[in-house]
Amino acid sequence: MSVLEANHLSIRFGGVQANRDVSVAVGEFEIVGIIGPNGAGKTTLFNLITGFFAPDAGAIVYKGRDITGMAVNQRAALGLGRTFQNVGLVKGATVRENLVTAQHLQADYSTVGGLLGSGPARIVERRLRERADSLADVLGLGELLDTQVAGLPYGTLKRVEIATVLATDPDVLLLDEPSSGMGPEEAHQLGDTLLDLRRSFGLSIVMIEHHVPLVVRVCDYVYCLDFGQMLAEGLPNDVRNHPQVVAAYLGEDPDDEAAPVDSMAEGN
Amino acid sequence: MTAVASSATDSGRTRGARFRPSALGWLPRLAVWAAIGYVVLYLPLGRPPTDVQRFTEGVAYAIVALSLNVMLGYVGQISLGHQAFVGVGAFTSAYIVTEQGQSFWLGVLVAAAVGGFQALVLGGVSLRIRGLYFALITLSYGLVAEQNIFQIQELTGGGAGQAAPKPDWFDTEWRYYYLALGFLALVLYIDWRMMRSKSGRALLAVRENPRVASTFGINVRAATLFAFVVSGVFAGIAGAIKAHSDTQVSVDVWNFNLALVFVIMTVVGGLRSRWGLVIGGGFFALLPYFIEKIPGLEDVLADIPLVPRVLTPEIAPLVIGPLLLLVNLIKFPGGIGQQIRPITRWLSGHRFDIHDKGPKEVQITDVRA
Repeated sequence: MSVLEANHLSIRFGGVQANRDVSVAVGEFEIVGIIGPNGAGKTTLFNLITGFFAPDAGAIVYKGRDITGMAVNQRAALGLGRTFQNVGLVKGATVRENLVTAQHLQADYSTVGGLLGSGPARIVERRLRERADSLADVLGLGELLDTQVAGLPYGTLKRVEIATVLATDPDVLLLDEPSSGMGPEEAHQLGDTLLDLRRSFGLSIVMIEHHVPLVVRVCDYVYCLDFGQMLAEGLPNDVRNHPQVVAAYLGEDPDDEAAPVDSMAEGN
Repeated sequence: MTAVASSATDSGRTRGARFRPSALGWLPRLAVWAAIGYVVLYLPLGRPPTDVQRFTEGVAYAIVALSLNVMLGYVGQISLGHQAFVGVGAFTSAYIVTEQGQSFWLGVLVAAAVGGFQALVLGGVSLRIRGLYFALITLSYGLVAEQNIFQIQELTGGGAGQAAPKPDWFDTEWRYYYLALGFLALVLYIDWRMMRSKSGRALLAVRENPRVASTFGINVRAATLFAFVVSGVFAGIAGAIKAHSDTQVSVDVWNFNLALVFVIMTVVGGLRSRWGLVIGGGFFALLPYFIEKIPGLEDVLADIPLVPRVLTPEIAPLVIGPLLLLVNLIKFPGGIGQQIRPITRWLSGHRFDIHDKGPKEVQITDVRA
């Protein structure tokens, strides 16, 4: 059974049909890749799934429950965690403060108890800080815990973001271009990290990703979007070699979009 | 183990083992603490009661600054109707004590509750919108309060105002001053604890990035409303403190000018800096006092371009405030709090670092209209 299903989602912004009849299914402990050229509607699909947009048509089913009408924070509480393309962190705060803030729902003490500094609140707070530290260690960020997020390099921010979304205790992780800003080496490591995280945290992962070698290596299933519609889906290698997918990436002028083809070749 | 190793610093600028001053290093720090204690706790004892009453007003203003900071500094929303919240708090407490014959303590409690309730109702309707439009709604509320709430005879006692006697035991200006300090300490404590709990962290996340905050499971609207209610409770307490200090609350002081002074003193004091806010609030309350008591100060101020020759207590904060606001804009967005941060950090046992701007530096774009 799928843990997360997007069924026939459509949304239009003015004259742009950003998503048209898009369906995605994510099985338990599956890693699903979403690829497609820029402007294909991949992030829009994430925004629909996580609740930032309401679809014009279609439904989102999470663990057998229709969550289409729910607010973003309610979906987060159910276990949908997401990262953002342009890094979703509180930039003025330190790495640790971000990791503790993200555990908002695990802070199970009363608000008044927090305001008065009650004993239980302090105990829970200590637990949250300890968990923040251990999550930072998992992502190799232990050294950076007290560093302000704003100054960190982009690739590091992406790792901090993954640690932060893990702190929200998700069952399904939606990652928007997790490897952007990373070199090939770092991206390869990220692949290992994602496979580890799936095992140790029992996660299902959906990732929008341009780095094809990474997609081919870690994904169990891949969807390709183009102009808001599903172009192809299937096993990573099949989708990569799908003629329409190749055409979508190549476009009219092969020189412009040569990079995806090269990286696809590397993927073998 | 990792927790111990990595909790070493809190500024991110310095690394390695946490700095602890030696016994000799504590000596000058304690001396400065003692000097602050002397000025705040001992000096007022030697002043006449009329002066002490103004110091108490400074304490009340400090609480107002802390109240506005919850909205402006933490959650990044402007309230331009705070004079109404403080005013309603003042009248409520006076009404409970004078008209209902209840104790001062109940008066303060009810004033705090009414302050929170006002914010809950006003915020409940208006906080679906944020930024400029929310600011305009609070501004309208201030005007509505002036024209309606403050015209209710039973509450405000009409033109003569409502009497607000001091409580037993605290019936001298000096004793009442210490009581006010006690309330300031309480508000400071709650503010401090809040920012170390999930509620405070949620506010900071909402201010900086509501979208990200919601993916953390934070209900953005509820968090903003919560901030408004806390702000309202603090404002109610400040109003009650001021009422029983003046022993008479009259209608004419709670106008829009006062709301402006409140906002200016909060920003000049320094968003998110408790030290700065307390100093800012105190400074603006006591500005007319300083002009009156410090010989030559008025002439010095009058030499500044655009400053009128005679600074009455009503206009002094509205003239000096914007000038200090310019300093904020140009050099110190974090206001007094940012300027004195090297000293306050040093006082709390860190190294003296003149360039320390703090990890959560205030930006001019912090509050988005």
